[in-house]
Amino acid sequence: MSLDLTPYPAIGSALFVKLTTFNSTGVDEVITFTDYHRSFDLDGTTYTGLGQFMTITETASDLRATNAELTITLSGIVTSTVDLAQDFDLKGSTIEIYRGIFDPTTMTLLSITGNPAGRFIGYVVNYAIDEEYDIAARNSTISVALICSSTVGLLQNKLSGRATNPWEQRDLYPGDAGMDRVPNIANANYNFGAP
Amino acid sequence: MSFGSIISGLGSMVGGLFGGGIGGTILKTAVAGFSLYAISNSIKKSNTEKTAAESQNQVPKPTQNPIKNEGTIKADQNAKIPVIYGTAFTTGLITEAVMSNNNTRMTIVYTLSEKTGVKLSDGTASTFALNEVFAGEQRLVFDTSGALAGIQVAYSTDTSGNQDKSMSGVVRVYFYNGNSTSPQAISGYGLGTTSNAYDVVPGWTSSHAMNDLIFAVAQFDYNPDKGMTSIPEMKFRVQNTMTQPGDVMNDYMSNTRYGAGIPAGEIYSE
Repeated sequence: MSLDLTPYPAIGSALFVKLTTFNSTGVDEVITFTDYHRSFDLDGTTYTGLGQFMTITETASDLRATNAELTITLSGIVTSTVDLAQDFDLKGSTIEIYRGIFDPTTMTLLSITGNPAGRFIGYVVNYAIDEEYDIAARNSTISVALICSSTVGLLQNKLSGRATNPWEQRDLYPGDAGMDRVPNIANANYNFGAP
Repeated sequence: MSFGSIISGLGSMVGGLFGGGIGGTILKTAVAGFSLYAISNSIKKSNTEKTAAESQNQVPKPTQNPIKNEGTIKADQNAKIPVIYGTAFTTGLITEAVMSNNNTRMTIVYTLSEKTGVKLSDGTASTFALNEVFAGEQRLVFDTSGALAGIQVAYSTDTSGNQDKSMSGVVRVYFYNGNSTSPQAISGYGLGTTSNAYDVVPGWTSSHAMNDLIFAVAQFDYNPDKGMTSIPEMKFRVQNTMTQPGDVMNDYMSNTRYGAGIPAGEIYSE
């Protein structure tokens, strides 16, 4: 959906990230944050303002869906809280990123159709935790990088379809013995009419 | 006395009869050659008669019976079941083969396609039909009456319309639309009896459900009198009522069994 920004000589923008992951008990957890300088309510959901503590790698804005990857880096995390990141099942989490267009003077979200616009939909395929140690201050901070692959990229690598073997048949339909004998008959010899 | 000395002795005797000179030499050579030929033929004939006598008195060596058929089942555990949209010819994937009745009946299950879902255009379920069955280059024509109507072959025809009755009564084809308990008549025929697949395939039980599969069961009876001594390569013309491009794309994108598994909320349609 396109945004009509022609009436505005200047605009501001911010990215809003919605991460749906699972905690250690398998319960869905939705984590929302933004690189806006303060927390912001969007469609009834509060996005925690991280400001410059959140960065997203640049990607090309294509006219069609592409398989581009991007990395979201959350820095300045206190070391005592890094174990919280490991409590969550980050790999496989769904991630949605929206771009909100703001009035640079009032810093309010512009009331135009399609704002905020969808920017990226995908899954977290990997994550990395880096530690930055400050020798002078004798403390360290943690950066968590989420490597995300778009849905299109995952589809390109996806394999689907049912093979003619009992394992895949029973995986889909437990108890269905229709393919049970395929391993036995594969390349088996027969003698039609032999006494 | 060696054979060679007999021949040379014969030559001397012939030479004595014809005397010297070129003419005599030629004649001697011709007579000697003819004699050698006659003796050689006599020896061959004697050997042949001896072999026949031996064969009458002794147990004959086993020879290859030309009317038996040996083969290999072409089943593959890694073969992916295809998805047919519209109409297509397919040889199917062999997923079961059972020899019964003392090796005189072969029952083969050919898995033809995955069962597809609901059409986006009208919300109705897609359905399959088996339009034609071919054995080799012959199109099978089925009985139209009797208990095995629509199942048992009456005759087969080639592209010129010539009829062949070699498969009459010895080949049967059962078609199933979605699972083992959904028998369906081949297009243009009515079913004389409806049989679940596990009642047709020897060794099958109700647990052989074949869920969400379009498949055919073919039975071949060995009959050398009719020339039915080998298993022909089968080909099936299958038709799916899902033909619209939008329906096909939506089905393939959304299906989690054989498609991309994209959630419906992420597919924009209108």
